[in-house]
Amino acid sequence: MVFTSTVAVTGLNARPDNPGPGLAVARCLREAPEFRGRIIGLSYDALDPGMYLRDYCDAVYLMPYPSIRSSDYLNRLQQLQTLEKFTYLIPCLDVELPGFSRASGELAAMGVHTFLPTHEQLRMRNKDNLEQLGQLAGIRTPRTAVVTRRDFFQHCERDGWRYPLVVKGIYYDARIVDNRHDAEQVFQDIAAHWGFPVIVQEMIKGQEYNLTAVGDGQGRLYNPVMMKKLATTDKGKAWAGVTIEDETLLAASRNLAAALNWRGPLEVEVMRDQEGVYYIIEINPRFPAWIYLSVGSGGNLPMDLLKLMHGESVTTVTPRPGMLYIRYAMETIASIADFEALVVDGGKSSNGAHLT
Amino acid sequence: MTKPEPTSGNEVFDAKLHTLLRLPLKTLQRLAVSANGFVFDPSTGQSYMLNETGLDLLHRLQQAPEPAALIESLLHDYAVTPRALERDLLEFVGSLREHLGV
Repeated sequence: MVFTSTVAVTGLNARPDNPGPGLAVARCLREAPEFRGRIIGLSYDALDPGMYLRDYCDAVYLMPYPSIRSSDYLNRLQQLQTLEKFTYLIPCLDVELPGFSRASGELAAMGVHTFLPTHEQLRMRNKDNLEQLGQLAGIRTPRTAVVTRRDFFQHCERDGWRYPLVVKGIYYDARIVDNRHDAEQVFQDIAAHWGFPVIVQEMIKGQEYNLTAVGDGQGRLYNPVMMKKLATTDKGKAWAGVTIEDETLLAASRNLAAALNWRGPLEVEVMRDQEGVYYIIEINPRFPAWIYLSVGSGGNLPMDLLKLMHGESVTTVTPRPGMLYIRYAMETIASIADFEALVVDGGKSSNGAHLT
Repeated sequence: MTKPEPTSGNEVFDAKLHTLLRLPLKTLQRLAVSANGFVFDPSTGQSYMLNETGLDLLHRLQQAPEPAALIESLLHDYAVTPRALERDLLEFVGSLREHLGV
């Protein structure tokens, strides 16, 4: 079937050191032979690179931050839906998911289809619920603490914690700290950016393996793609990776999808230590920034998601192992009028005209 | 080890080596091996480079030979003393097992 519908995609913050997945999702859709529709980019910053790459987005608009009143956020979405008539929405940022999941009824009333995890599924995958996730997956979890006070680091060594530790934000950011001084600084910084609680984890030394797939909401996982990071940025984000076939990661992810009846995209992150023991690190309720590797290995998970949203059947694809991706940074050129359209008018419509 | 000058060998090798040589066939056969010795393990994402001798050994191991037969064939095909072969095999198979996680 040929898809001629309009799809809205968020998360176009394709920054080199820590890219959002939206641009990669748009690229996957654009390259799907059966996709002939339009893509509307929704973003939070006028300098998000995806706002200027017209090969992928036919129109781009600024959104208010998801932390504002949900009615204001939905009003803006309604305004843009009326203008661009998008019928599908693929949120790509963790912080958006709770709001969109809660508002799925309002979105449906607008004529916007989504395929998202439920509020309960999102709660279950929270970083502060890792131990239970590990039990569901059937693999270990690193020792984890949910921390709201900086003085945790004054006594943590007495309680058996050993540096280095990983300090994580509730939505984003994970940094390795080697001593109490650094830990307290990073704790404050992450709390200031992402709020409380802050997650502290035992650091597992080994290889990181990730899996992405789409859950059908009834326990089945569609077309999982697994990847080993070959190179990372200083934030630990993958800069290069290779597709793999890891039976333990696959089984753990299938266990999770079945136990949670996961609905929508997900990314499962595990560490394999030097003894070959697997630890689940986290689950992200969205596609990862490396999702284009699903196209590179023979499938197209964003297109599969679109088919599920449309009630179409999804063809099973076995991804090819040994396919590499290497991320790169390059400049795109835009006129100051393009920038003006975003900061003054809030977006640029499909025909390139500024909004008035 | 260097080729060829075959020697015959009836030495009794360490039982430990015989055990080490019995690598899981499924693990060996999953490896993607190129003609120039580049090996990719699709299970772990690791890749390795083997020299000509290492590549030959890996190919032989992928046929799941009986350890005694493998040793016999290596002693026949390579100019190597049994003691040197034992040492080299222990090193190679040990390293291979470490990389493959078996």
